[in-house]
Amino acid sequence: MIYLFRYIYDGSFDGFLTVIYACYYDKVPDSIEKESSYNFNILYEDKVIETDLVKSNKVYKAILEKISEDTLIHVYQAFLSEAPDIELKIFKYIQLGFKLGSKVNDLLSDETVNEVHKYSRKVGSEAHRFLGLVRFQEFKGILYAAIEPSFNILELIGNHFKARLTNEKWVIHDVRRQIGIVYEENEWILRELKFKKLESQETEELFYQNLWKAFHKSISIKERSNERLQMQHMPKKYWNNLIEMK
Amino acid sequence: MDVMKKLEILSASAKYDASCSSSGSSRRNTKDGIGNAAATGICHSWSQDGRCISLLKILYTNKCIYDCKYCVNRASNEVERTSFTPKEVVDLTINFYRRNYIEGLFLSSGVERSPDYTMENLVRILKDLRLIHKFNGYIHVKAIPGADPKLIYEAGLYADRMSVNIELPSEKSLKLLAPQKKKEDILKPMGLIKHSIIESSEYKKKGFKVPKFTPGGQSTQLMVGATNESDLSVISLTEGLYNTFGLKRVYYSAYVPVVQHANLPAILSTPPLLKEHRMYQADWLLRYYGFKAKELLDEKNPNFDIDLDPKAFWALNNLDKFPVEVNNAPYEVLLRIPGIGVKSALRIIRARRLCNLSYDNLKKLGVVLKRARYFITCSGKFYGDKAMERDRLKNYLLDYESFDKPEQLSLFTQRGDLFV
Repeated sequence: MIYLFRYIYDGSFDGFLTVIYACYYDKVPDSIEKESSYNFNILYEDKVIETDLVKSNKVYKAILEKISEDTLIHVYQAFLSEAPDIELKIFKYIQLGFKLGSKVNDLLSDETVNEVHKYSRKVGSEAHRFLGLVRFQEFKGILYAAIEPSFNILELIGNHFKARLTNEKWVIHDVRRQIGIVYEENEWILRELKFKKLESQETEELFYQNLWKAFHKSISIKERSNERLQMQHMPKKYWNNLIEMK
Repeated sequence: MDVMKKLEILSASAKYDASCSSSGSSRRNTKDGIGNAAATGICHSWSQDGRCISLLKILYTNKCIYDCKYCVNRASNEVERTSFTPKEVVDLTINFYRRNYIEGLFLSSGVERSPDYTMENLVRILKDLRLIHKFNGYIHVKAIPGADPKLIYEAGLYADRMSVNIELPSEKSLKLLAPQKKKEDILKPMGLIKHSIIESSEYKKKGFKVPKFTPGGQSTQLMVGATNESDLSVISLTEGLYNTFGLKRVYYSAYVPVVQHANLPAILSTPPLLKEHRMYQADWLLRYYGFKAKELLDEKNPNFDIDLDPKAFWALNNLDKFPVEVNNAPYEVLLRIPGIGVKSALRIIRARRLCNLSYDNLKKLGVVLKRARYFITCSGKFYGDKAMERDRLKNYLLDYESFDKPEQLSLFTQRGDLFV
């Protein structure tokens, strides 16, 4: 009996790049799976890949230098989509990239390229959306925001808020993934945050929340009411954490 | 009066300004400051009318000495009057900004006492924000027509964008509806802003260290549907504004009847949203698609067909220029095909470097062919209807999506003949 071959990795981006390294120096797999979504399957021969920063760095640099920066961004963003089987698609995209160089991104009618671009675009645009949709609440001088994005976009928005709120302490908490960015003194780190979302009850905080709600209401022109358009720009799935929509 | 009440009054009277964009400026944060501006602009929320909220849009005061007939704040209208204190504006801006509600401030004002007095107050708020509170987020401020050029210049040193609203697209309407305002009062500050922007960038090119002057440029607003100007005169004015004053944007606002007056549409009529939409589409054609106002409309046809978007309207009047071969048409020509926009055109150009494009390839690229198919050939093959006839094609190009708006339902039934 011939087994299908599968790599298992820890779910991190460096882990994934280590898998790509193995694809070239060991064996091309039929599937790439995260540890967390691992299920024993009798058809597969599994190999667990330990994250190796030296190897992942090599792959990172190779993509950057031999293909292009755009490609690296697409790889990273598509990876953050956490879509099923995205790993194998990205691998095929990288393979094409090493063959064609930076031209790979012109191959728009190719299915693999198209898929990876599609996910990269989705993640990129959700990240951009959240630059606006994050809502901080103040807790004793610390700003805290709960978000529930579809994709794992935290790392893509950290630098934006760092540049803006340089002299504040702040936390952005991805409630569903139970991770968050914690910023203090010019540095942000991504870490596990295993608690439910928080709601501030401080008087000053509620004062500004109410002002914001009132503003949001009075700025709308009632003769032009168009809730469908509103929902199109700001889908309901995000309303949970938007103070003005609660 | 408490801040809550003031905010309600002064944002409600600022809402008719269409502009809320926070783009065009990439002001950086300072070491001890708060905020920066993103060149692409960021929307933070959307109000119930579907318009983006990016800036805290307020009037400094709704007290006004002018009596412009169309305006909700006109002197003779009986509404509650109030003003913010500079501190209130600063506190609101900073605290909204810290919580990431907004991208910055949009500060407009009624004209209290005199243009100079009002402009002085606006400048003071800007200086407080920038110099004392080190606020580096986006600021859009109105230049008050008739104010001392020195004050307007000073405001430009602290603002990211400035605007003077023209509102009424002709001198005749101005006389009719805003007799106290003169055309020169409006155009003078626009000229000053343009001149200062050029001057600042000229010095910078020569290597001098000069303060930035409204890095996000200037914009203006025209009212749609309050008066009877033809579409041609409005887009010709727009084109002139882009060319002579180097404006970044011209905004259009469908006139919402707020006051009863013999010279204005009745108070219960709905705002002409579809007309406004068509003006924005035409504006886009001028700015990004290389169209000239004269190509789109002329003296014989001074108005758009409200059922068609302006590009489809143009294409139907210029059927001799189609079909176009997607595999070798230059970018400027691709852009003129109905249904193909900047993104699709760029994708076609990228993809056709690698292989000849078929109809299916176009689909895979994500090009929407519903309307484009009647105007293109792929490697010589035509996928549209056999006959390129104006009336037949028009049926395919009707902009159905716009018909969903309640206002359009009546139009839809009026034109039942087209849908048989």
